[in-house]
Amino acid sequence: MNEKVDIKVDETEPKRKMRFGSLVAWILLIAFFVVLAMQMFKTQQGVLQVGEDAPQFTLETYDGRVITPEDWEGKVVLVNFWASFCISCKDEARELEEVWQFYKDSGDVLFLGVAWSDTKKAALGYMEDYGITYANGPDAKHQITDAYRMEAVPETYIIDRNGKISSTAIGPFSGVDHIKLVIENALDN
Amino acid sequence: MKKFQIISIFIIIAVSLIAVGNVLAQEPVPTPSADEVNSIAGNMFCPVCENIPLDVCGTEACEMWREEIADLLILGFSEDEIYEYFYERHGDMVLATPPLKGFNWLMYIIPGVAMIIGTVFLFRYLKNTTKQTAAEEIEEKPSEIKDPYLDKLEEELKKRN
Amino acid sequence: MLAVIGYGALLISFIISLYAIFAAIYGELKKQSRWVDSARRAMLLTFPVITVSAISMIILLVSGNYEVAYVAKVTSDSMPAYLKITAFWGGQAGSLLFWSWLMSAFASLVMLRKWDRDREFLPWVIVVTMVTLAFFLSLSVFFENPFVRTWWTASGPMVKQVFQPAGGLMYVPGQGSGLNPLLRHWGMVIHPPMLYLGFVSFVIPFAFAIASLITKRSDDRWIKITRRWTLWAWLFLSMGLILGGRWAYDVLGWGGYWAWDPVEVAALLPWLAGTPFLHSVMIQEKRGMMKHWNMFLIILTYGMMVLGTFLTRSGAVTSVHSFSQSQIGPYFLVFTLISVAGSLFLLFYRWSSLKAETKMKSWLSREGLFLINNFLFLIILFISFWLSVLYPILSEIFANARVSIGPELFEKLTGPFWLSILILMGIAPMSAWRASTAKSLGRNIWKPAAASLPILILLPIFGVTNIPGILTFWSVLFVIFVTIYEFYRGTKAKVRTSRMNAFSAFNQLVSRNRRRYGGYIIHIGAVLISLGIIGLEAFQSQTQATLSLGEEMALGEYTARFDDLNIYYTVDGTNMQVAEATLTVVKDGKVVDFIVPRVDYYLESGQPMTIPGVRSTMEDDFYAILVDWEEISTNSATFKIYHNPLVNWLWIGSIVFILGTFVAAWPTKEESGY
Repeated sequence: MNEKVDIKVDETEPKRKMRFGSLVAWILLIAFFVVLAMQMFKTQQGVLQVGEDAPQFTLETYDGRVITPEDWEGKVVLVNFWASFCISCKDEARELEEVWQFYKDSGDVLFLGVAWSDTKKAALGYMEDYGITYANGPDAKHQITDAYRMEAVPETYIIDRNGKISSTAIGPFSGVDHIKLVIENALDN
Repeated sequence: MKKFQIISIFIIIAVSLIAVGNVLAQEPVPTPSADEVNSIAGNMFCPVCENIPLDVCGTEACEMWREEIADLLILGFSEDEIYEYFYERHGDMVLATPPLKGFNWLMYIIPGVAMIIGTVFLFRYLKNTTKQTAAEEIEEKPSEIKDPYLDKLEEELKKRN
Repeated sequence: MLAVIGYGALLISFIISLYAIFAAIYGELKKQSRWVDSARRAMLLTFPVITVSAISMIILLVSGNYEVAYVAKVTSDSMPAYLKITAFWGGQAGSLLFWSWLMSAFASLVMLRKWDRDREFLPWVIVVTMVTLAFFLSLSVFFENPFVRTWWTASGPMVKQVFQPAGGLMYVPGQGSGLNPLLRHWGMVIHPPMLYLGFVSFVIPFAFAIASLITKRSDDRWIKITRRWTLWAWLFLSMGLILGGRWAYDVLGWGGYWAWDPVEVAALLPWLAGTPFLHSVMIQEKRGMMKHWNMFLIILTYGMMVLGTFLTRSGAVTSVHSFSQSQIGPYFLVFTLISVAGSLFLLFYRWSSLKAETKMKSWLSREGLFLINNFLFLIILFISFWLSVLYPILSEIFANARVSIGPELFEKLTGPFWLSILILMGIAPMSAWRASTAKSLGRNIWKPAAASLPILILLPIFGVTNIPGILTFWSVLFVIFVTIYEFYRGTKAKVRTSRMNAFSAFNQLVSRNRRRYGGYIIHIGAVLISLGIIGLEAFQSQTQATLSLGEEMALGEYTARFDDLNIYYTVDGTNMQVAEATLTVVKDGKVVDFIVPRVDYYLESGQPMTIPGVRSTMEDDFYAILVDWEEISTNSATFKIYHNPLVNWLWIGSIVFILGTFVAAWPTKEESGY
């Protein structure tokens, strides 16, 4: 109440202007900190967690196929992020292919390789070197890696039949058995 | 999105056709010099080494990217087409100067707006304060000058002239 | 044991600083000076206590106590002792402790001064410095404790904490992972401490400003007291920036020293706020104006410093420089918000008591030109802040697009303002306080201006066509002439009045007007630095080629011949492969130098380090990088060579710059004559 009276008594033109100016300044300052907080939250969020909905995406493979979310239906999907220049990706490349050979005829499992920041030439060379036959494609404008909040290659996400993340591997898998285990777990759900 | 897919498929086909064509024709294609590649790469960043321009980044990924630039040059891509090619694949972050479209306009507008606002404030302040002073000129006492040193210096200089 | 002592000291110093805050406020509110005295003593005590902590850390580092996680992270057996010591600030946790140590040293220094005249400031200076210190100490105590050790627990997982968990066994790695090789350069050894020194010493003027606001003093006492602090702070900050540049030039191997990297800009921002502050306080001292503005600028400087530290340490921006992500982010953000908003609130609250005592008479007066200088610096600050911090964040949040902004855009947008500042540096010293007319200013300025003009014609005649380059050269010459003319005028006047010989007149002139002439020397340093900058920005050329042994590549007047390539394995802290090429540099048909660009490849971390071979003269640098080589036959290699004209002036200018600051800031008995 008191303050109101004060305003009425000595409200002058420059004062009103100053009030307005400082109001704008405060709003800008607070807005800036809100934006900073949002950004920090975003960077500290980390990768997608088990149980979250897995972002669905369309993959245009290097061999010209288009794999849409409809193709995911009723399957366990393994999404592997890799790059041809990534050393630890190479460790698991053959193993992933081996596991793919094991499951590919069952029709229950879909393997999707997403090459991050790769050139087509290098990616194709890598796939040839490691004999990779499952669907692999580039990540246009990093939309897929951003959706999965990927931090570094290699990262792998196993998605169950309901489209939820069943398990993740940040870094390479420890072996064929490890990959089979996480896929079996997802199939069992 | 659909359009983009079609275009990119088209580009891929075109690129591979031209590549195949080149191989078949066995024509000696002039290899672009490292300087040509670098002058383009200097305006790009690769996502692997953030904040280091592509032409000086030593990682394997950047080397591949430079190779790709060289390949595109062989295929007859112009500089702008190469930027566009990488932009389509990797987004805004590959370009050292964000392209003038969509949200990026804001980036160029805001500094201009800030400058105009700043200039207006500065000039209004200078105008107001100097105008007021002119009116109050008589009130101000000469003793308020607080730089005896400079006065002395000026005095000396006057004496000399 | 040492880890426990170090951590204990850290904890105690945190408690002491909290106590100092409490005692200072309590004593001030209850008007009991013994409480304030107690707070002062507590503040003095923080330094020795943190020193105990810091020394424990250093001993742990030097003696290789790898059970301490930080020691294992930043050192290894094979590192020389001096690098083990400097590893103190080579990682997040250690550098935070180091920061607190410096802060407490500066806080103690300021407590040692005579306070008789300014007793009323004392409690609030204690509060501000101790709040800052307590905050940084709390980061070490609660989030980034450098003394944590690694333990095997009975239940299985390893834990990191200072004290032994029940049934836990200490885990002592046999070897540390060693300091990032890029940090093993003298520039990197001194550069962070310089920046930190700059940051912590800017806290002192800020503390006095806040004390002045709280005690409702409207005079310029706070500015007079902290004038030297500000100058030293500014010098440290400037040196931190320049050394960082030198490090990049020598070690990062991309031909330049400044890339407008977000973290570099984060360190530049406080400088861009502190430099106008340094000028603008003079207006208040001389003319009693701009009181709000000076308060605003010092708050801005402090705010930018805290914000920059936040950005680099919270992982909110990504960069080659940034520390790994940590949990301090939210806490740090809240502190930044509270300290900036709190100070601004205080400023608004005291707005009416900070009325100007005089009015500006002419915008050509010294104060008017200083104001324009402030405007230019703040525009540059805004653009840098916008491009490197704010816009990338906005774009990522609202447009979901990560952008990279390269140096070119920064240079294009800020370049005209830098050039304006240069020219202003030539005009402002010629204008008088209070009133200058265009006529009086013109009378003073025409001689040096006329003397510098011919360069505008001469340069194009000699084939220089780059417009920004020509303008920069002209303004550099102009500033130098103006400055020499100022020295000359002053000496002449002095000779007339005192009948001394020119030399002692000059000597006395400078020593009695240290700030003025020190400032001019700093200006000379600044224009020399800008020579080095424009040399690289406008006239750098480069080329790349793959050479077989004995082949040559040419760039401008230079030719480089590939003479030798040597590949060997060695151990420098960690196993590495070194590829070392020898180039013979030929200029105008004569062999002028041999340079050795090399690449050190650190086998464990897989990290290459590209060290250029440089032939450096006053005129230019010939800078070569080994890009690639034939691994087995070693008879071919790819080089990138740069011709960097005038770069050496950047480093020479910095030395002049330091000298000028010493002249301006060195304590004198005669305080009156500036």
